[in-house]
Amino acid sequence: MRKLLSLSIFLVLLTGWACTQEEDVTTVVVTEEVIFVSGDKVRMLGRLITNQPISASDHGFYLSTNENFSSPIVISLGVKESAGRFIGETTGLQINQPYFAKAFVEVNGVEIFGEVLELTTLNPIIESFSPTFSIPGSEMIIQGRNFPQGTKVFFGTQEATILENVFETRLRVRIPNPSGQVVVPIRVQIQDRVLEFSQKFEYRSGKFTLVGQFPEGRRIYENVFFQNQDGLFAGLGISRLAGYFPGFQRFNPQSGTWTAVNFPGTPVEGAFATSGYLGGGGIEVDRDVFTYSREFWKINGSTFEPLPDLPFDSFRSLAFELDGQLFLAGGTGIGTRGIRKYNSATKAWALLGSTPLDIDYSLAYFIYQNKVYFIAQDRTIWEYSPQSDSWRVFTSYPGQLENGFGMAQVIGDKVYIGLYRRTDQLWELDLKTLNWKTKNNIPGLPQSVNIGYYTFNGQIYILRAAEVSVSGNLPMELYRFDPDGI
Amino acid sequence: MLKRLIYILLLFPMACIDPYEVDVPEGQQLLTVEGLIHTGPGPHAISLTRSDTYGSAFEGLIRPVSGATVVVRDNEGRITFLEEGAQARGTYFTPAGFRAEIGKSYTLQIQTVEGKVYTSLPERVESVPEIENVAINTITIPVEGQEIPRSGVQLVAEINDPADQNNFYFWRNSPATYIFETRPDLFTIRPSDSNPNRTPAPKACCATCYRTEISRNQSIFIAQDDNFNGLSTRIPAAFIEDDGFRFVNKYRVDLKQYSVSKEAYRFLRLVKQQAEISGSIFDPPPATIRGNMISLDNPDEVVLGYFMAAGESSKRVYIDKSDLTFRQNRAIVPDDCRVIPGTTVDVPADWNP
Repeated sequence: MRKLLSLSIFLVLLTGWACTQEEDVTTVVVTEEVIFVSGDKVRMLGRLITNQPISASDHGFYLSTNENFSSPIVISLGVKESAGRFIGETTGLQINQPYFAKAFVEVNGVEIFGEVLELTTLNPIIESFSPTFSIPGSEMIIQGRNFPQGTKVFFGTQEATILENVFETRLRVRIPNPSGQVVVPIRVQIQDRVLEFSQKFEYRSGKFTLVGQFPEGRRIYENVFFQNQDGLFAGLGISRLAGYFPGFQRFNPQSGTWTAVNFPGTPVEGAFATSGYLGGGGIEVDRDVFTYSREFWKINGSTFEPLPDLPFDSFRSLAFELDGQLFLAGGTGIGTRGIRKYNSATKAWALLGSTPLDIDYSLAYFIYQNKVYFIAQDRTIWEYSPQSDSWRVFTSYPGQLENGFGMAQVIGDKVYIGLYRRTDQLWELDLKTLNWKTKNNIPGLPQSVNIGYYTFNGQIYILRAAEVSVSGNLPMELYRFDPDGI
Repeated sequence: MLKRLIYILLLFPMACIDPYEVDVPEGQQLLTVEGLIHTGPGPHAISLTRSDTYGSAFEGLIRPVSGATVVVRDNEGRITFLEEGAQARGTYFTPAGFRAEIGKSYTLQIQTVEGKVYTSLPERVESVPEIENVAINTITIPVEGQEIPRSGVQLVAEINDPADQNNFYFWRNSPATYIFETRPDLFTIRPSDSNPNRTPAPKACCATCYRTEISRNQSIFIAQDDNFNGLSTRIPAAFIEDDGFRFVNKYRVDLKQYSVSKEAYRFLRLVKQQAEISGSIFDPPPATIRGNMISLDNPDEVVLGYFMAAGESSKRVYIDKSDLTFRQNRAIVPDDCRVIPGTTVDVPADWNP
């Protein structure tokens, strides 16, 4: 009986041991949310939930273009020692491509997956760029959306350097050197897709070419200049450290040669000249004391025909021809608000109405469609109609005037204004639209002044000299300016 | 004798008990994000602060997080940069003209000056019904030991809840404007050493001004349409306390109604529960409420607050003193009304009671 009792107790104990259950370990992986999708990047949030301490040898996400996850992109985040959230991110995806994603955790060699989420990478979009007009080496901002890593920007055929990609929405790029075109399309290449702005980018244009130097290394000031069928003329005035310059030098833009031209009159400074007339000026007999010349000449090519003397003094006046008639405005003798007209048939001078601005030879002016435009010291551009002897404000010059002596030359429907004393700026004004545009700066010594400027074959020739106060062997330089060159 | 001496000496070590040092872990300074973008006119504000540690009492200040790059990104990849307010450090404003669009999802992305990057979970903007009407109820709140109860105006929004969607509502008030009346004729000169008496010096101007103030609800007003889906209903949406000034004449406020996401509603409900803990045994235990902001550098970092995106509808309400069935005693300011901050004698251009 005792043996039976002992056996029974033993069996009961054995039964109890056999019924001991191990506690289940619950481990769940959740693919919580896709928190970021762009053109080529995706960022996902997952969570590991477990009721026991865990040591996962790896965790992360699977990403694939098909639901079977064949050849998946694995975002491996490595070992995970505790439950909680995890974030995975990958780049280099195809734009506008549907993907399937799921979180995973690898425990004891077994991979546990979360549910599958679907996502589609976004399409890149271009919106705007600024500035639309600039120079190589400066920066441009391109606005858009979903610009992934590896995005390329082209100015025409030239690739730009991308300095910064801000939140895949703003590209800061360095404008490359041009490939010969002034106006180029802007293209943004993302993977195999090329997006092009409808608006084009324009390089600041204007090419200066040094074509020669004034003969004998001379620098002349207070001179006159004009052009006619024989060439481009500059002369008279004062030669630095050498007294009055007695004649002219003529430049042939086709052969690129200079030729000396004799002048039968008195060498003076502050004279006036147009393509057909020359006269006035004076000789300094003491400091700022002048004896005025009233000589008046008709210019025939490279010869000078005397005309009856001027009935008035004209010193540092501004002269222009319109419809074969000579106009003299401002300066000493005529008065800064006076304007006179010469009738070549009667050889008589008429006094016109007073001008609304002070005029002398330091003012830049230009002629367009039988009207004369003066750029005043306050930057106002006045339009003068000689037919009606009337004035009106035309527009305003946006550049620097400094100390006057700028140039203004018309080519077609555009006028080029600038190169005032000690400035290297040149502006283009479209006379049809009144839009201003900067052109490239002139090279050379910054302390230069214009000695003469001419228009020939759609290009501007500019004779420049270092200011009289600048010493040294600095011959005057003749530049050719191509407004559309680059 | 020696035995007694030994007993006495034994007493000394017993008196030298070392105090027990409790090692309290240092609290974390947590980034706190608070912001709402919506379909209404802006600018919309996102506030970033950093909480401070506290023990038995606050030991520091809640500091604004300044100099961060804050952007809002929609589900199409369009980025909107927010600009930090010049006068409000740590508060970032959307540019003029920005409005959230219904149906789009938005995420808030933050990069602090330390280089840490945070993002919100996407918040989808749901449409919101118009506020059909706003009813005005006078509410009195008895105060223990005081004869006069607290009182104020409860705004009750009447809405036609759409049946085809599950709606979660949140109400806020815009800055309010009201007629502020003072008594400049009762002005007295402040007593000084040379003149200890309050000498009457009535002023000729001004007794009536218009005062604008930020009207903050003292509670969080939220609702979900489980019980009234597809029905017309009336829900308390705001409470404006009567301080003896506000309802002396005319009071104007814009009631803003937002359709927030389910997750945002849950967050607001938990905040409301925590904010309304009264100390009873039935209160929920204080706890950290996790929002929808995540640190990309450390997903386990606790980031407080919530970034919400919602549809907005608005209703302007003018409250006349006669609309109240009980009013506080009128408070008297014996001075020119213009000395009070936020006042002007000029009638607001859009004042149209």
